Amino acid sequence: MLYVVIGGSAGSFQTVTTILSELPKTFPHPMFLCLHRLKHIRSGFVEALRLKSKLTVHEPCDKEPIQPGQVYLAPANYHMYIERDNTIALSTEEPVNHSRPSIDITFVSAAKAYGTRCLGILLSGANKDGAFGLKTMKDEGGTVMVQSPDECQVKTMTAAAIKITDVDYIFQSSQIISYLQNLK
Amino acid sequence: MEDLTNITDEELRRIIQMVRTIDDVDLGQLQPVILRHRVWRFAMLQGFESASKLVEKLVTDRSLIHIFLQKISVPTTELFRDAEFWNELETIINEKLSIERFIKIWVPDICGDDELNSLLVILSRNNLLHKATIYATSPFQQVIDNSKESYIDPKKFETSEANFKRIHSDNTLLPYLERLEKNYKFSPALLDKVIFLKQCVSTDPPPDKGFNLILFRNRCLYYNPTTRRTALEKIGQSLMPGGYLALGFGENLDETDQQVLLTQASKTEKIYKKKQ
Repeated sequence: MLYVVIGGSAGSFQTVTTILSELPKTFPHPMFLCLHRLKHIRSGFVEALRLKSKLTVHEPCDKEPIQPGQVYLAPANYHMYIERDNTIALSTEEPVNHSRPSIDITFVSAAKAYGTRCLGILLSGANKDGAFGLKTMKDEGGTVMVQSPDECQVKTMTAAAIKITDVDYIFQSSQIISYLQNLK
Repeated sequence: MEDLTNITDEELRRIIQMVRTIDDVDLGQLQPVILRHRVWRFAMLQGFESASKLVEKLVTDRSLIHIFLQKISVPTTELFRDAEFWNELETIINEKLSIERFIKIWVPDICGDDELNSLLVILSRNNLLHKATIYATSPFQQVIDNSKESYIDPKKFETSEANFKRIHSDNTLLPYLERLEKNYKFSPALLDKVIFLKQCVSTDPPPDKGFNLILFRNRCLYYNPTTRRTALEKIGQSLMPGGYLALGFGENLDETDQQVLLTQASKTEKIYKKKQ
């Protein structure tokens, strides 16, 4: 089982919904979405992601066991960690990179827990959150990819990642989808 | 953000053992991934080059251990965090608890004072403080001392005021604060109503029994699964029948005995009611 972790901020929502709409119901891996969002708006986001997804998308509770084929969306105003005992841990710690949830937190914890079994994908965004986490994932033996900055609505995030990490793939969203569809 | 990989399991074990020996506090009760992050964060903020340097210093400097324990706890960062929750709780307090002759409330494992202070504002607004007995507990004396002297910087005031206005648009927190030169201080008159006690929720007896309300939001996030289960079971037992337990939006009662003893009392919030 792979741990597929996707991070994104400004301009990533459309890409994420497209990815979800193109994945089959039988997608065999757990997927974690850490997307920057308004901290005061708790409802509406997960419902919007569910609209076209064939996979079950939900906001996990703390210490929830991770299941294959489920999509876990970091809840508003919580950091989302991946724990070594195959569960999710939430936290209300201080924002990281002005963000809660922070993509770095989710990427790094996944990398530390599952190393080579991680696939990290960083999408469009307006700050550098996620860049360090993607580097850690690569250092720990995971596979890392970023959305092509040319395609990103805001390229700050992906450019920051490319600057510090020798990423495995720089893909257009159609290529990201294709890669995910072909995962065994 | 630096690399969490700098902290080895062995270094974490040494820190846990050291703190347990010197201060009788068991950091092993914390959720492992979050403890690792807190230790890293402390090391970074204190300017240590690596976790091993931090461990070396902790061995020789007891005063650093006390600072370490203070900083390793996760503070709530604003008053009225999650305005919808406070709106719902105020409704329950008004409709269900205000009819009681006395109201007994417990805020376990306070860390920072925002949850407690938000509750005091709600009780004061609704003229219920006179019949409320409120316990606030923490295993850390330093946390208790800080909570008794509750300072709020202007930035935090701004965020807290915005939260408060989401539920009471025509109101302000200012009547509950004292304006100081550079910041604010939470009303000592309100804090005087609180009984502060040093207590560990998972290992010590509760401060009392038969509580009408226990406010325990986002604290179990930081406990390992065993400690969480123990804490929730003790808390559930100390609620009176018909009493309320408030957890955070990202929490639930799964994997505890309490899931059959309590029912969810709100459609949107994690507020539970103990069965009669």
